Amino acid sequence: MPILEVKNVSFSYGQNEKALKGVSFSVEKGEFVAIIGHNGSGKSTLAKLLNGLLKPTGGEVVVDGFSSNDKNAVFEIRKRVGMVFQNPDNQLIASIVEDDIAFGPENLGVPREEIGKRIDFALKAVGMENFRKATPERLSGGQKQRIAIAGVLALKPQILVLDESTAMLDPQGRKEIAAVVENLRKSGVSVIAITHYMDEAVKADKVLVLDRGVVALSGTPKKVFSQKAALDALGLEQPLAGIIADKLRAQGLNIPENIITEEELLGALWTL
Amino acid sequence: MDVVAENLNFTYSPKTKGLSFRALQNVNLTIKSGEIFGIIGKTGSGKSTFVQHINGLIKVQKGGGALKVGDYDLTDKKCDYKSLRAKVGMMFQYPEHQLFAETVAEDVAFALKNFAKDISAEEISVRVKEALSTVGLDYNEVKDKSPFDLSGGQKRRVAIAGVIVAKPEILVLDEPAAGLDPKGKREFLELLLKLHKDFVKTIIIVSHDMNLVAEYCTRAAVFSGGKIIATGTPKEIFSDRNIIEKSGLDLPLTAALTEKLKSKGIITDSDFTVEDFTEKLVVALKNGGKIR
Repeated sequence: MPILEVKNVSFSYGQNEKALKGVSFSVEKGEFVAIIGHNGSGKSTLAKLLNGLLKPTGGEVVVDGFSSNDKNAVFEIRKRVGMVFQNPDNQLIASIVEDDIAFGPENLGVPREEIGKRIDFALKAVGMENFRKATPERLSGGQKQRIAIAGVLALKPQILVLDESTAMLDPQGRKEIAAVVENLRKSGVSVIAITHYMDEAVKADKVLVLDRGVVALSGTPKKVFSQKAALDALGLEQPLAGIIADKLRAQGLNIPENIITEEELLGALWTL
Repeated sequence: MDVVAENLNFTYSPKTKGLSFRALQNVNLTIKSGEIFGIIGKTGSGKSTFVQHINGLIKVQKGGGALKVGDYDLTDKKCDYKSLRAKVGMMFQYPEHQLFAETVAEDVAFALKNFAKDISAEEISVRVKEALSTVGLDYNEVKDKSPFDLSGGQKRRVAIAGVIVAKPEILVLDEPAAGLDPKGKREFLELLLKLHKDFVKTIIIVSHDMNLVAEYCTRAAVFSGGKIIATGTPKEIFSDRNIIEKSGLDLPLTAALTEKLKSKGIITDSDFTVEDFTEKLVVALKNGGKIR
């Protein structure tokens, strides 16, 4: 059974046009789903619906059996779905890393000894064990964002939603977050990443393309990114490796279609 | 206007023990008028501290070396920062967060009004119209709209219109494409090329995106730990393993592919733009007789 089901969900802000119109998809335990789409396609609205920050105006979001339409379930949903946003500076509140991570569990009334264990677990999951007593403001962007993720992991969520969490990071920071995501996936936490980086989406199990509030394309990265014309029409493009592959093919090289990663491109070149 | 830094040094909180931090160390750099110049390096390498010196947002410290921008000597106490800032436009990361006025026209006019106090209302509207059309927005369509009702890509265009309306000679952009979707990004970068051709003499780009630097910059400087460890064309910089490893940067995809192809005996000599790389690769493969 999927851990998360989005069933025909619609949402509008006040009287405005609907930001989401009948979106449906599901996420399995340990699955990594990337959501892409142009600015204003409804991605961030969808993210906020996943943990009950917003309530659907139509349809429902079901997390581990709890429905967004059940008023009493919102805390159960938030316990299970953790969110990390774009700017790490807006998400860290304490002056010591361990205090920051303890904030969430303290609010849920987790016993003291257990909180200590959770801090250990969360810091280990993001590879920041040596920074327990550090001051967040003195960390790099990637490190701060890893602490923000640790703060969410301390709540032991089953699903982690990353809303453009790598947009402000340098390449090193992005690599650090990618490694954390890989680690979480292996430990059975589902990850939903909203991103503008096509090379991040390529690593997902499933890609969802939103356009004006509807799911325009979905499937494996291979399936989604090989639809060049459709991507163009949606204001997106292939990963750079795919663009280069296309150009080489256009110049007469025998390069197969639907190449989306550097490795695949090199593989194709070796066999020429 | 050339930017010439000689032995530039800068220390944050110089008098506070334990917190003082030397952000720039003996930086020597000349950015010539007409360049699209990349400032690259990891977070905390000194990039932002350096570019904020260029329009005097950070003042050259006493004994901190020399900095000239055209005829402006930024170590001179009498330096006219106001007129300098009209000539050096600066766009920060996520400039759309800085939009504030009730209408697009007012937002774009704001800097202009500040730089030229005696400017007439007609002149303002002419300049605003020109700036908006330069960035590809229809004046009549957007002028009375709230900037907050626009899409992400449009907001960024309004923000840059608010900078170029003062007709700067140098445009400094910090991560100009971050947070834009792929199409918005491509369009925005093409707009920069157009601005560079018709409007602004020099563009200085601070970025983590090496693909962008390889594709658009004429030259770049690599910052690491407050020092410049290399200056050159993207081709020179990305061909040098030492620089890449020392600076902790990624290679652009074209350069990474070039390196791996070389290890298998396929030598290409491109400038690392996608266009040139693919052309040279096709030629190399044909010459190597590897095409069936």
